[in-house]
Amino acid sequence: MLFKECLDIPCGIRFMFDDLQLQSACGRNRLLQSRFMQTGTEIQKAYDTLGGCYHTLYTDVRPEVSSALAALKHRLMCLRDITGTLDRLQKDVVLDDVDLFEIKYVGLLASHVREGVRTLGLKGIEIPDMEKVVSILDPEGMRIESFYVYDIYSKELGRIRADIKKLQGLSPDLSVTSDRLLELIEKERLLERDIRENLSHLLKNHISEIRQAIDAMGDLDVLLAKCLQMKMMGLCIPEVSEDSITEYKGMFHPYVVHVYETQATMGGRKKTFQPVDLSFSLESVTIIGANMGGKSVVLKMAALNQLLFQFGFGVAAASARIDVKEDIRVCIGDDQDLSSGLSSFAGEVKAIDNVLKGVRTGKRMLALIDEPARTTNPIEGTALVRALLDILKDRKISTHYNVPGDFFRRLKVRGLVEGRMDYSLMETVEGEIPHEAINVARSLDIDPQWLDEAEKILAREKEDN
Amino acid sequence: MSFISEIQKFKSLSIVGLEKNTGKTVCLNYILERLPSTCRVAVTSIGIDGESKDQVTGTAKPEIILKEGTVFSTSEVFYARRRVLSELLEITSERSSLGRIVTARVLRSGKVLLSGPSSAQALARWASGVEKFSPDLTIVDGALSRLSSASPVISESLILTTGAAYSVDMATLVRRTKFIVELVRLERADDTVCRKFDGIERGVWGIDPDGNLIDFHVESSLAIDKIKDDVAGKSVAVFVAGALTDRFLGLVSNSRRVREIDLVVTDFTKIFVSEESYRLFLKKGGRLKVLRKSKLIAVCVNPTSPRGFVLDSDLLCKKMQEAVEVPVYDIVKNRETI
Repeated sequence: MLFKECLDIPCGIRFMFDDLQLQSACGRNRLLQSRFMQTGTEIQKAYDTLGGCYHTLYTDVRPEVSSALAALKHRLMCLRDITGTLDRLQKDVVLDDVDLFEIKYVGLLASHVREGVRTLGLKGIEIPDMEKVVSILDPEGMRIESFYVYDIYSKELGRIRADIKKLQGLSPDLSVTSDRLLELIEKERLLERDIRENLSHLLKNHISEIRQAIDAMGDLDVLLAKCLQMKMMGLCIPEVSEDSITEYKGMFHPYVVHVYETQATMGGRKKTFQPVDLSFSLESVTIIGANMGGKSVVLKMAALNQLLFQFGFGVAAASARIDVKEDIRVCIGDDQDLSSGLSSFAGEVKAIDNVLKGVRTGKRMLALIDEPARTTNPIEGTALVRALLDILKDRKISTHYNVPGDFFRRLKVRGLVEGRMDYSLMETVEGEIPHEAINVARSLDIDPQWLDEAEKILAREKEDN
Repeated sequence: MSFISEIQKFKSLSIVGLEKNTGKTVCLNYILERLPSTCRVAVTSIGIDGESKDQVTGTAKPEIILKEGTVFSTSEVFYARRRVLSELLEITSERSSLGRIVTARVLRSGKVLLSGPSSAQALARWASGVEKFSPDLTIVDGALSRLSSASPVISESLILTTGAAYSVDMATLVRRTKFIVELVRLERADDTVCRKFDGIERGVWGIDPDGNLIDFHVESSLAIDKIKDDVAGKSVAVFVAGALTDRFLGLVSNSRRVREIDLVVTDFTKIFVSEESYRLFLKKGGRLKVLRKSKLIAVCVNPTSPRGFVLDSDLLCKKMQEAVEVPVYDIVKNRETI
């Protein structure tokens, strides 16, 4: 699974991606093409680099660090994608001056970036040395970002060029007046062609180095952007869990926090996000709770953080210990698809079917289903949820329905406490159904006559039973 | 020599032709040749849809002769076809239909086809980007009927080329050129007025007698129906941020207070009014001013039309000189004397 394939998982991962301040298209591509890491060692290594880098850049606030960082970012901004040129080089096409310039430019850029990484003392980042490539294209050793077929490439070329200049000086409008001049110009052209051919041939041996250097600079760009995001959003470096337990302390959702902050700056009411603690192991967990109790947000945070973890981003919690998964499947939100003619129910069961298919592959995966069977009647809905819980292990589900059984763990959103919503989660026992829909609706100033009628009906039903 | 030394007083120059074949390239080549070799030049051309051939006559686009040390920007395709020894300095982020725009420095004089950025905004970016090669003078070879490339945002000074290709009737040619020259040379509004309007990018605005800014709440002068009476009502100055049209000019002309208002536009490239309505406006006592102006250095005339018709060069220069208050040259005829 590639990062670009995860962007549409409705948990806020796209928001995290859009928020990254990437300097180059190469960085962006490297991230989009990066894999969902599936081993603890790999993830641990990524976090060692990210953590080290974060520490160097942001816990040490010497002014020279921030200016060196700004300079490094500026360099990365100059990184251009030259894949097309390299592909042509691979196919034995003779490169022209513009292509050769591009390669030289990237070569010099790589040395500058190497230097920048060294100055900052960033650990775990290797930018390949491109001095050999640079020396091919910089025969005079000037280390200037410019290119032409230098005289120094061939003694003959230098001589011919001097002669042309002499002869040309005789005619102010540069018209080719003599056969001798014509002959020289043609010779110069042929020589230049041979040199370009030779240079292309030499460079062909270094294609993989050049690609590696570009990729490494792209990766560095991603790393720096992740560090900045950690700082701006207050993300943490998680621990890789070794006992299958995933545990979040003070988990939050960066998008919701962002929305609250934006509303506050627009002069709206100041709302604060209540961080949530959550832990689970391999058993199934259901989360029950009233409407607006934050069940979906909990699932989204779990999905988002799992993704952030497996792609090596900072994680949205005060601290976290996360179990490595091989896959993640999510069914959150209304999957009604007008364009494919699916009803809400059909959309939902197809999404759940996708989760179940994932489970059947036997992979170690995190499955998150928000309110299964919410789109049908409660009688069949309860049966469907129960059957689903039977099949699923190590998956989290949030539901309104009260499903009896002791084969899964149950968490409840604390709910309305003295008129205010408490979003924290607590363990709960069987038999408690979240009966807070009407209370929640009242807090929203919904038509009281309607809610009173509903309460009367409930009371009558209770008496009847 | 006064012509060339006049050019050197400015950091940037645009050359614009009022019609094809008015000698724009001849003029550019003349300037490039005459500038002293100590003057470091950066040059590009506004690229129009990447044409490599003259769309009308089918003749090849003329090449520009560049001297050693000159920095130039052109498209990748034209760079590959250059007949000059040059060192590539930069691949810019601007693109045209002929590929990316590249910048290079001439190492041995030769000829190139120039086709640079294709919009006024891109040209402005080019001009600031090329600064890193610290030129003494940047020159933009403007396009036919694209006066926007001569906007003061891009260049401090400009040269107009006109000629028999624009009109073979000398009187018409002189009259129409004179009109453009008048617009280029419009007076700058008072400093206080400029300060008030500076930085406004859209809409129609006014200043009341107490010096307060009035927003007429219209997007552009095209939507003037909404503001029929207000404009002249109490304003002492009215500013049109976008294009100035005949209709809007008419609105001000017809106002009873036309004499008491300064009508202000950003610069002459924003004026899209016919000569007739402009004359009428002046006759009624109207005043049109600009926020920014560029210096018109000269008008260059080409008495030969592409169809072979030739006007009397001396007479044309004389008549033109009487009509406009800037130097008039026929570069081809008088190349040794100016």
